[in-house]
Amino acid sequence: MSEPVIHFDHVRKRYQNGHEALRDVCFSMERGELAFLTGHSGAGKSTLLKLIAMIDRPSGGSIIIENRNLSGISNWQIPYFRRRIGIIFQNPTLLNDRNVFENVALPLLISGYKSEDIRRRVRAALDQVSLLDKEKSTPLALSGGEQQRVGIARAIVNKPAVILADEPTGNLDPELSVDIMNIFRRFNQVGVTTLVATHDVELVREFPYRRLILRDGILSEAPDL
Amino acid sequence: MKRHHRRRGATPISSNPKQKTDETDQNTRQKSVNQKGVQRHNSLALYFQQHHQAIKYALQRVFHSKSASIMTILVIGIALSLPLGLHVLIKNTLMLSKGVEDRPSITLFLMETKTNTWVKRLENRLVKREDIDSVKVIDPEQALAEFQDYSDLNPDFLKLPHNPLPYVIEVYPKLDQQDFSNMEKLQAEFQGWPEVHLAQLDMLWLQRLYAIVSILKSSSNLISALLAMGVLLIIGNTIRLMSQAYSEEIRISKLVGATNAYVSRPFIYSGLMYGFLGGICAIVIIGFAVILINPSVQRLLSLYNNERSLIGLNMSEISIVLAIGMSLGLFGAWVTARNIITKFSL
Repeated sequence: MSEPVIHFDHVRKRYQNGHEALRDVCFSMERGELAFLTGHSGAGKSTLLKLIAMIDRPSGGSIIIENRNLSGISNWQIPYFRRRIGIIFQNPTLLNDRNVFENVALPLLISGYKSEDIRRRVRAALDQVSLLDKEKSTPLALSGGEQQRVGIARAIVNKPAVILADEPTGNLDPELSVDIMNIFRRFNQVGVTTLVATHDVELVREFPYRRLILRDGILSEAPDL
Repeated sequence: MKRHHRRRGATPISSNPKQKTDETDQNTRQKSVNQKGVQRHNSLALYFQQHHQAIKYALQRVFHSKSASIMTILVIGIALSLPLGLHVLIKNTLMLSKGVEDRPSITLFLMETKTNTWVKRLENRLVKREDIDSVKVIDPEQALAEFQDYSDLNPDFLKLPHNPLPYVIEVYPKLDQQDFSNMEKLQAEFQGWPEVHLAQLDMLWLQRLYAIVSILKSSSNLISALLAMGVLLIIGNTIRLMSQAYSEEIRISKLVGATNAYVSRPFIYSGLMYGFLGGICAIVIIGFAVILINPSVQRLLSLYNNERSLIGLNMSEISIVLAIGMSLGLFGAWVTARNIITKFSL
């Protein structure tokens, strides 16, 4: 039995306006596990992902990521912690004044890799999302699905231990959504722990992975498929 | 964190604990997890790489919004040129005053009956004093000759039965900058001596000029301080607007693990560039001002038989202006960028 990569222990999150986004969340994910996080919008999916990425801190309980209790990470250490996590959004959030290559290279530049390593890794990441021929294009010249794949390449280029995806297929048609999910599945197969927040019921039905359901801030596990 | 999961040994993710890593992982005590053979820069190379990058981005940002940048640079240039212009004015005034006459002095008209040897003794006494630089004795014959040279009067008219002129000693005190209080004290002291008929402080006009200059100097300090504040605010505001234009980049960079320092750096370099270019602008403004004003100053001076012209800025003044511009830019941008970026919510 390996130790969990993500471990939530009685986590609560209450916002300053009194809204209780997460009430008592307990769950664990092992290395190389892929899970869906489902629930209605406003059920707390984004909040949960934000707590893992340390965009926000919990009001109670403890979160352990890769054997590190997040409460022991001070604010100035957060950037270094975040380099171990790949985040993907509903909107691809690319920089339109830089080309595809430069967008994907951003995390490596920030972490201080040498340029030849950056080149190699960016190419590898773009190859994984089948966009190697588009490295010189600007994001605006790409389709929605291609932009999303650039976002994924950027999230995985640092070889993170954990990938968090917040509604990654929200703006895409069903076929493209399946493409994106297949990409996640490939990473998952090489040992990356992946948590995909989605309310796309069709997608969840098509891929028989573990399902975590958030309802009014309470997490429950869906029965095995 | 010393332990790494290796459950799926086939993964390309492997730890390499011996690797020399950047500040990152040392700080978080996380071993860098890289593909085999992939190396990050050591800390010095990383430092240069990241600053090189930041300068590149700063240049892009400054040149991207050209009209806004030009306006900022002009405003900084004008703000810096006002105290700089005052400085040049003061410098030229002091320089001209030196050219018009020689040093301020106290003239002692001695009692009539004094003999040559007696005057010599008095001269020695004066020369020995610490507060006196030099002394010049003018005997009555010399004074009369000089007077006759300068006078338009008929020389016969000046044929007097005896020379009515007294011995005169010109005393040049050591000047303590432009402080005239010691001159006045000396004058009062000499006037009290029994052998001195009259001690006269020359160059009262110079004293007045220096008083005006000192007013100019203190107002110039005040103006400089106010305008420096103005420059800080201008740069702060420009950096604030720039950070709004680049908020998406700040957000994404922070999400993929950029430190606040990393995100702030291009803004701080932008501030530095604005300060530098503003300084250049001020130097150009003053250069043109000197060229424009010089003919009229020369015309004025020619009325006083003075062939001087205005002095512009020398190299050390130019470097000081640039250094001041750059420090203001650096400081203003640093405070603003740090403030915005630490408070930036993702």
